Amino acid sequence: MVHPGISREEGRVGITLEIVRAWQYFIFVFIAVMGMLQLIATCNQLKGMLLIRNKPITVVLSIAAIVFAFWWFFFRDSRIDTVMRRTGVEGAQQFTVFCWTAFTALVVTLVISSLLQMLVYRHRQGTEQEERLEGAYQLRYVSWFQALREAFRRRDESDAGTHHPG
Amino acid sequence: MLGLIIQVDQSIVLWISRLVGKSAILDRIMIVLANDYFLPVSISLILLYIWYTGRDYPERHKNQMAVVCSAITIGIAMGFVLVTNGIWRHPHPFQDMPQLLDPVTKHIFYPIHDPSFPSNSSCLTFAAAAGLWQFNRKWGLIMLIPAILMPLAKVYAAVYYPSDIIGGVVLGILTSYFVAKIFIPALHVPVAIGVWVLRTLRVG
Repeated sequence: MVHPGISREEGRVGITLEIVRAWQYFIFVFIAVMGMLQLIATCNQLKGMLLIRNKPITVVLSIAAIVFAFWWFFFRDSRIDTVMRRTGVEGAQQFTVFCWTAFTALVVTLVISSLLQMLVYRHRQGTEQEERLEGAYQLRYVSWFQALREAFRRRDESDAGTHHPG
Repeated sequence: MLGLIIQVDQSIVLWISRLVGKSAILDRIMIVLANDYFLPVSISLILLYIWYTGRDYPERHKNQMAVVCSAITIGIAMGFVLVTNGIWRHPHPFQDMPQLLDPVTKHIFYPIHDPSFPSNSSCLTFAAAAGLWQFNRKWGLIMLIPAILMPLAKVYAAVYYPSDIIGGVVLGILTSYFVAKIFIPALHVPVAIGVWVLRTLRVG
């Protein structure tokens, strides 16, 4: 089957044409989303999601990651002069790959940041006044693993009838 | 009337396509803006950023509702585009004016196969912007920038007529009103039923 964006003649004579592949799109989105998540975490003080707990360094590295992802995908090897004028990953496939990649990047970020919290940043926690926050904003004070543990503990208490909210 | 619209469309496309090849920098910018990846991924990253942004709970909730509205609007609007494409197959400028195919369309973009009206890229970008606008005016306005740039680049590449773009814009905006005023309020009923069922079964 001739891919959209490649003419029938080009396909028939078997000219090797570089098009954007799903794995290239995956790497691009993965790095860009990882960078964006770090930028979000540092701007919103979500310490439980940070990989490096230094605001200026995180801001610089996250912007660098986003810029690098775009540069690698669009401009490496003059890709803009050839590949970007063809399709490759179609709309529906693009959407699916983006969603799965963004989800993977989020999980990888949360797991690595939780492991760092357990192994590296242990001694730095517990200085702030903890407030009852829901959803992603629990990550201001605790890691993802701790938030999950707390959620399961609350549920167990609720099931046992010992939880008193507020 | 339709003949007049086609005439105006073709004149505008011919006038804009004369700029192609005049400036290497402008051509490069248009290649970046027109391709299938740059603006869709940028818009998605902005939506991801908005999801987590907000000083307090009401602001975060408003932003998250804006992202949800935008995402649902994009999905439904793309469905409407598919339906419209099935009803009316309108040719692209490079099909009506084959002299533009090599020097303009293939130089900036590529000859796409799906029908021209309504433009799916303008529908997508304006659906994203209008969906955000329903809940957050500031982000809606910011999102207008990529929403305008991508269709503009497609007209520059002689891939769409201005009327295709306007069709996509109108469809995207109308869909956002449908989602914000009818679809999301109506969602409360099945969501409430689902929560009640889960609580009754002690699953959630």
